[in-house]
Amino acid sequence: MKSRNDMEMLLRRRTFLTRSGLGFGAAALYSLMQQQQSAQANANKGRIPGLPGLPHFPPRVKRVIFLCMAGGPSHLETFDYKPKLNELDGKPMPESFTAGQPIAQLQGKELKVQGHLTKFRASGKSGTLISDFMPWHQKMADDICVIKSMHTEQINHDPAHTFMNTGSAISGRPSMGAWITYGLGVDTDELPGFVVMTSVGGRNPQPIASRQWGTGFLPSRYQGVEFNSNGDPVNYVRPPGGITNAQQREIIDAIRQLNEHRLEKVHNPEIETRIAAYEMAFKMQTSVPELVDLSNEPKHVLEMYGAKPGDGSFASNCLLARRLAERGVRFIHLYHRGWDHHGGLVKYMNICCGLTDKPTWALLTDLKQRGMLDDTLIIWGGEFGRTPMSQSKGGAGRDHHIKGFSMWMTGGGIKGGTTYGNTDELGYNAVENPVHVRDLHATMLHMLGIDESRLSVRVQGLDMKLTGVEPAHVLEEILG
Amino acid sequence: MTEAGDDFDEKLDFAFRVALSRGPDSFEKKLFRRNYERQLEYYRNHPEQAKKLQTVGIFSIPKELERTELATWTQLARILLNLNETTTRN
Repeated sequence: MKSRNDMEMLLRRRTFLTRSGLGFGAAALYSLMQQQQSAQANANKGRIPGLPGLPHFPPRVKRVIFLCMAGGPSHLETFDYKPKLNELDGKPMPESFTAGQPIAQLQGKELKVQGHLTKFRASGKSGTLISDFMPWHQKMADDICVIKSMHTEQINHDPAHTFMNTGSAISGRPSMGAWITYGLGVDTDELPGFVVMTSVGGRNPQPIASRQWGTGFLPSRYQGVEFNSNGDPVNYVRPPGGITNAQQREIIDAIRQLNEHRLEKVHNPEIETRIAAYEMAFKMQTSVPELVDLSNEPKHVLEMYGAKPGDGSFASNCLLARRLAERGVRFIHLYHRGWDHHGGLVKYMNICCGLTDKPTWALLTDLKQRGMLDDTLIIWGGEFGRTPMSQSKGGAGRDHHIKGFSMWMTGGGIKGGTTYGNTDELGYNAVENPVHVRDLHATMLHMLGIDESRLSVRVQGLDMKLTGVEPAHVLEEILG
Repeated sequence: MTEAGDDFDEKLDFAFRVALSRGPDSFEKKLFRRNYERQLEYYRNHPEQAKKLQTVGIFSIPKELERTELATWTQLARILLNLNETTTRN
């Protein structure tokens, strides 16, 4: 950022000197500017560089795959088993838990305990308890670290996603993928550093706004790029008939030259972003068709994921996530929308897990087989959990819950076959080693070699960070 | 193609005024001229490519328009319409 500020200063001075008739000043500055501009042009053409001095210490992983189960999966039907919950099934929820607590749709209703709607199984050598909705997760019990004491601050979907993505419920802050590509740069100049894909299936899929992968006050080039999971991954990625690749190159070059010409006059940094975006778009006309062409994937790999190319499923997105990871993409964010199980929880858990359980196992297994789990961090979880109290909007279900829920992490040496923290005897409050969203962020940044307290940008007089103002803690105990 | 004059300068000036509310400066003129010549040469040598380009979209092309010239100006319009100055207000 410093060099850009310097350049803006120079440009302002040059305009001033030219306009005030001090032509000699402009002439002297010209050669200096030429050097800076050619450096800038190189940066525009090539891969996005990281900040000087980053990573702060040797990173454990190079990239993150974030599997967001949008809607808020029930921790009580996935990873958090509480015998007491079954004992009190159907009985009134003790008020000691709920008095004065934030409640979403159950507000003003009679609160009754809902026992587990499935059985749990001690899985793997570690014996981690995982529900029977997730037989493929049971197979990977020894690879993952389940964090059972997550808590967040937002009880409705959109603000909760915003909180999970940006560390703030107020929209307009950079998302974690933007922060990470801003800090570390990108290992590819063929694809964006931050790619998002979504899939749907389950109960009442909530929309996901594109600002969830926004760039906030960071330059626009760090924002996430959403690939369509159906049809062309990027609209109009194929050039129209009658235009060759060489011609397209000439057109893009002409646009670049004219934009640079404009930049010299008006020095709007967003023009630089556009120049870089056109360059990236041109490269993506080759790299994206190659990325999504799954014809060279062996049959057993497609079967392992359960992916049918172009079907827009979570399975196909998982396979594409591996391919994006192989190609140097820094942050890959998959959303599966359909986990909002206010009612019909059993039916919809079967659907959601049916669509995501095996592909998640396949992604982990595939990365492991390729040695990529050593330098890839996978994070699984929703924007919140679900209440120990029952709700029945068409069969038993559960309401939104923010005081305790489960997520898991793996990769980069994170201790597999372990759990971290715990909720109380009814799965309501995170009581043992509570993990706030900012602690999750701090741990993720730490895995990438970033000290969360030193990745900040001054905006309106404040040093803004992903982790916010309050102290954030790295979960040292789960690191290998 | 039909509203501006016949020669290159008049056409470019017209295009600039429609897209940017201003005429081109000398740098821009030179750059568009160079691209005009290169694209024209390509479509002269590859008339089938010009035809292919003109199957994009639903606009029916007036018969009196010369196909090579039209394909060339299509390319120049793609440059002009994609400039930062065209697509943003500042």
